[in-house]
Amino acid sequence: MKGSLLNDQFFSRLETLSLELRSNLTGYFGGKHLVNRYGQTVEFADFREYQLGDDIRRIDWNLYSRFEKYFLKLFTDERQMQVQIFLDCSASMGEDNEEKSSYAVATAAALGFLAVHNMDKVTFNIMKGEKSDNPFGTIVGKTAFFRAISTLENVKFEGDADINACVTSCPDTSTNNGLTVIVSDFFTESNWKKAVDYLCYKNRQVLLVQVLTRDEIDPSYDGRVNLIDSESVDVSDTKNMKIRITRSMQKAYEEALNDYLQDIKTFCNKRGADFVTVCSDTAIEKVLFGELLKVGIMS
Amino acid sequence: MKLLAPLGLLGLISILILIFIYIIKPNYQQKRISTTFVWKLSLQYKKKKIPLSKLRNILLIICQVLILIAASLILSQPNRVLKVDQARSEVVAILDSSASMLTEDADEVTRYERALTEVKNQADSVLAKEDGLFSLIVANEAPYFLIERVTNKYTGLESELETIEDSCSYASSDIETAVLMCEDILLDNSHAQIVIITDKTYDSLPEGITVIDVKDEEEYNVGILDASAYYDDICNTFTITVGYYGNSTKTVHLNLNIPEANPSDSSSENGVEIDLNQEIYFPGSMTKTIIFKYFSEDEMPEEAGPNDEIVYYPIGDNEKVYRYKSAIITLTDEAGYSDFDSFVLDNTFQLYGGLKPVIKVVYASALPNPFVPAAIQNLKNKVYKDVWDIQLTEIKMGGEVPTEGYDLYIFEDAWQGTTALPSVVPDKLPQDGAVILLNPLKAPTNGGFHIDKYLSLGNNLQYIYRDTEVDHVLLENVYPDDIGITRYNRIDSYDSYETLMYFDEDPVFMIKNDGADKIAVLNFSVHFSNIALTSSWPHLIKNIYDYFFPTTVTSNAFEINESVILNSRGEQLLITGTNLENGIEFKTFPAEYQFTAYGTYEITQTTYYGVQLTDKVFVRIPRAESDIYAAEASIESPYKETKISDFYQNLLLYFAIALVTILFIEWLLHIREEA
Repeated sequence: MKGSLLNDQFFSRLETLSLELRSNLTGYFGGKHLVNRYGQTVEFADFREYQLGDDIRRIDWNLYSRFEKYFLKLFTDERQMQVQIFLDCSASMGEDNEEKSSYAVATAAALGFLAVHNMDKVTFNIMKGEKSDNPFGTIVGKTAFFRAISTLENVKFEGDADINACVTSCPDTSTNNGLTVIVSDFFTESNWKKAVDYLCYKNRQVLLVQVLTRDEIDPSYDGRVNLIDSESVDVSDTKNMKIRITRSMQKAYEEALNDYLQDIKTFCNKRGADFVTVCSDTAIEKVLFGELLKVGIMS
Repeated sequence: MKLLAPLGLLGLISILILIFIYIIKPNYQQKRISTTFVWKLSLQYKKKKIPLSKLRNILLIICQVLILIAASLILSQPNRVLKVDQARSEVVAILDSSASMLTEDADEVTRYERALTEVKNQADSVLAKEDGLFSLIVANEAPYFLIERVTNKYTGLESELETIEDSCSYASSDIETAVLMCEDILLDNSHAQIVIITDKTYDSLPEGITVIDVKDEEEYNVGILDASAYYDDICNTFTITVGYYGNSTKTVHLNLNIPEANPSDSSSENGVEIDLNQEIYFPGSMTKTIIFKYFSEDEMPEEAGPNDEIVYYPIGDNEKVYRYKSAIITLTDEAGYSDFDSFVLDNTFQLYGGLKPVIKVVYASALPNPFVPAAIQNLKNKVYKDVWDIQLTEIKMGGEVPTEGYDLYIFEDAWQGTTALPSVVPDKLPQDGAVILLNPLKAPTNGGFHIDKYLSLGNNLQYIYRDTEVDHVLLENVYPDDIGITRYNRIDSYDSYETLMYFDEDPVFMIKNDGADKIAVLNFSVHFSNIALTSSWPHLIKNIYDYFFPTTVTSNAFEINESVILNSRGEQLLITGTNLENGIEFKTFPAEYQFTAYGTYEITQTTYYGVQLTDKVFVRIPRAESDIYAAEASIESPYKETKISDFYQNLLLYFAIALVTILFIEWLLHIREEA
């Protein structure tokens, strides 16, 4: 585990939580997520009138004695979901900022743990360039999970990442069977919104987790600075910029950031996706027990 | 607004330097961040802001530019130019340096000395002030600035005044010109005071002019204003004008002393002394004319009253003066002292010209006519009655023609009909006098001309002409166009003659005046011409006479600084006398000279014919200076423009206040920027 972010105590607390997924997901057989379909669990759900071809073993004879009609007992179905976690491993996510990268990893790990704890499948997709890579395969069970996490800790954050290309090209994206989480700072020129649209098309539940550092939320530097973007190729890269940061400039930054985040929020609301912004200097417990609980993705 | 030091605006170059600094100044520190995405977004946000915010961003540089502008303007010394009538303490003293200022009071202190004391007082008074200016104009006949606009820092005032302590002139003063000389000072400082320190009184004075009168009421003057003598048919009559200027009555004695009256000739010492005295009573300030004249018994004038302005003093038979070398006129008091009054320079007068120089004229003619003698007699009895003693000798027909012993020879040849009478022209012209040849039928050997033949022009007068481009003194009042001839002697060659009248391109009147060679040739006869009947004839003879015998001086009495025209009958002329111990020589004539000192001068010359001539002149104080209580009407006001000079209201304070204010604003902005 990276640092002190994830420890046994934290995981033991996570065990009290579960991912709240939409009930209209189909998922896979044998999970813990209650879906709005009838299944083979022992939990009574509803009665239904007998139709020709139904299994007669499911006729509720008590109802028959009462109503002299044949009714079937229906039971809830619990399904297993697939949780896809896309982790943005571009340079902006932490090439120069270990805190941000470890926080992003921890967030992804925490969500992955919750998934496997709820007996769901988890896949970790490392987004780099235009492709996402899943070196761990589908993870089921905690043993495989912790094995994957120890590798995930050592992932390198470098280059850039086209979220849209990475998500849409991922072969593991099934339809209507789970949650897709994208962990990124979403500070990219690429049209990541298409990725969300894709996922919505795939009828997946979408959660966007934006990880920012304190400096990104409220830059502490000012004056004449030559800002070198971590994803820039060289000094002359157009991503770099010379700027004189004044008070007004800082105000403009704040406004631009707020508007950008609001824009993301509005977009997600329209798509039914969840969006959370977390600061890397905030305790991860607060994120999980706070922000994620707020949006209803946890219970 | 005016900038007293516009070069200070060069400080605006600092703005360029400031801009250059802003351009090159940026020293960007490198900062590696995760992403510039949001910063790029914020730039767009900045661009959307209203222009005033943009202005706010460059407010600091605007402040700095304003600071530099204010500093540059301060260096340029901004001043608001106002027009102010600049008043400054200034005195221009005009010191009257005329002869009347030599009038002494009872303590023998002259007015001039009192005036100098007053000049010092004026100087001390104005120079005691911090911004005081003092000037001194010495007003003699040609006023000049002795001291011009000095301040109290000037240390040479005393020494300058010492240089003029004994410089009071004997002439008049030109106060008017001295006042006008103050114009430049008045243009610069219209409040300058002009102080005239004088003994004259003015009826009215323009504004800004003050007169300090240095007269003493006890002073008085009796002076000889003028004296002259003229010879009537009997003897000389002496006319003396005496003026008294004072506050009480006065009795003085006038003495006319002729030490050598009636000498036989000018070089003789055998004259007799004639002394005439007259007591003159003045009831008050007035002028009296005393006339010493011979009266016959039936012409005796009445005794003059005390208030009569003309007093006749009949002289006796033994007091007649026919000729005199000099006459000394003196005013004295009862005790016989001539320095009894306050102004002594006009108490004596010397009269010269009592001996008229003799000019001997001989007229020899082959056929004497009355025209020539008449012309000479006209000069003798009328024109030069009081100037020359012209003695005419007429040689009768056939008589011996003199060739020496005369000053002027007139030789006239003649025809009788068509027959030429024997020529009276000598073979060799006289060497001791001037010659006039009238109708010469032969050319003398030393005449310098040749006669070709005589020409008869018929019975009708043929008129002669002159060279209109030549304006000669000999042709003054002579009109050749009116002169007609019927016959003339044609001169075909002539040497060193100046031709003045012509007939048919032949000379008919020519003149030579080359040192001792003084020859006038009129080569036509008065008998065969109408010249003697025209007004030109006496004028021509007079002009020839004046040309050959110019008077040395036009008078024997002049005022100081009066221009005197000098002529000589020789090569040079020497003047000796007061202030001219070594004499002054003249070689070009007519010459002009001004006598600057009072007294008697002797003018000597040797004629071309070796005759030594001496003339005496008396130079006196100007008549106007004898009136020591003279009053003038007014003085012309000098041009006085109220000098509106520039007053500079310094704006430095305001610009400095603005500068400090802008500096304060810039400091505030800087703090906000840093915050």
